[in-house]
Amino acid sequence: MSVAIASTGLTKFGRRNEGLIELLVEAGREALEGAPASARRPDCVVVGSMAAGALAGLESLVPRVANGLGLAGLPGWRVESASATGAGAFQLGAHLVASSAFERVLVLAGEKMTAQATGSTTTALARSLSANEVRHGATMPSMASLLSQLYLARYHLSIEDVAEVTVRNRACAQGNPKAQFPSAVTAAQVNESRMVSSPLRLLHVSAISDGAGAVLLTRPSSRESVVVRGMGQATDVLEVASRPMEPLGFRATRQAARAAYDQAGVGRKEVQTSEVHDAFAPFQLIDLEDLGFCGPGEGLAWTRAGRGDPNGVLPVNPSGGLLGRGHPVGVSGLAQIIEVDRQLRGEAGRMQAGSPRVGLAQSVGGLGSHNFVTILGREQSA
Amino acid sequence: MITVFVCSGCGLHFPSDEIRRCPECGGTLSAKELEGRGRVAAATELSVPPEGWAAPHRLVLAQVDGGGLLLALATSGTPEVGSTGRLVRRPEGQLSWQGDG
Ligand SMILES: [Zn+2]
Repeated sequence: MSVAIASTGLTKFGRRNEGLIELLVEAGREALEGAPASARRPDCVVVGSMAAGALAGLESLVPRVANGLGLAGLPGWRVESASATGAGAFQLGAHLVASSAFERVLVLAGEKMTAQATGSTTTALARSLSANEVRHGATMPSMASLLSQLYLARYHLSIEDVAEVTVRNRACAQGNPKAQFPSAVTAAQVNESRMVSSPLRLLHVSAISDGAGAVLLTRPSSRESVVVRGMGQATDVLEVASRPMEPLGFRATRQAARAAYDQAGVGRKEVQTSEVHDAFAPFQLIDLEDLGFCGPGEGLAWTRAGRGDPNGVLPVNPSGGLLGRGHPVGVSGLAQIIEVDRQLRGEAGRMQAGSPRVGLAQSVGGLGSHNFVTILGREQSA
Repeated sequence: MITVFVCSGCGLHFPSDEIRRCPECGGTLSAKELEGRGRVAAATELSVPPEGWAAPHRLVLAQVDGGGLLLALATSGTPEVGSTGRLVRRPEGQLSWQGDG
């Protein structure tokens, strides 16, 4: 694809005093101010938010953002893809540039989750589940717990084993100035944290958070730049229990990954940095397998061997992931892409893990019903 | 007895026919009566029940004989994974798990 990342912006995640639009404008201004002077005026905006109406009491986000940026008149679209919204917004923006419909597309994603009581937020997030699941009172944590148990049982793992994921991601988050939780935790702390939806505990679950991100997309210049190499996405049957379950994981991730690898012309062994969707700690193990980083059932052993560590063969979530950074649901997919971009530029500060030239971001929407994979590369464009 | 719905095209089963067509292949759904017996494949209890629900709120995925996995409420204790029982349909439309013994 002939699409480059000109600049990015990312707010600090966590409980923020600002409203949704202020957060989006903060990220958007950072991206525009970081762009070359010739690219600072976008000709289109794409805004992602999973549940702005339910969580922030706002709709009609495109004109609000355009107004906030002093760019009234700008055309644009809003995107919603549940907890993968940010990835969906990015991919739409990239298609708009690749198709030559627009030259400079500002992609933003924002979520304001802490203005509501936790119960209301949980109810809003559960609306991405099937009607039958909602009828049973299912929530994202309870469905994630059930699916995780199937995975753990299949491969003879225990929930205590999974603490490894949180411990490693939180260790990485210590280097992330934007993270909600820039502090290390021990396996004992994970396994003794309060129960959320048995056997998933608080430190297995990414946190409700506020935040926003922005990426300015353009055509590649003649200089070396970070470009979009491949993208894929797929939907799946909403009802989790009705899906084909072999191999156990997210079929939509596997389909999205296949499309992204094919378009990028790379295999998974050429990926040198990655951000994957660890909304629930067991999901990271599933992601590693769905992306082909390791075989089915090998995610934990692969992780324990340090292969995904910052100094490993394929760093996974060097930013701290959703578990460390926080999970403003509509933003995380874009934040992952921003983190990969910064790794490829060598501008990730204390999070920098080697000198990668190919990076991958993977996002899970809902309970695996709309997943995305995006592959970026640092390269000289023609 | 419980009723599930099976796709004539791909064989996937669904807990209700409100979706009208198979979401996997667009095939038609046929009602299938099951005894509802099976075993618990996974079970969870939410520490804080969802809005509108009383504590404790428990869910199971039940592997049903002849019917694949089905989501159900567990109203009498948190069932052990692997334990046996049967599903019944509540008037409100949900499935409910009743463990043996
Ligand atoms: Zn079908």
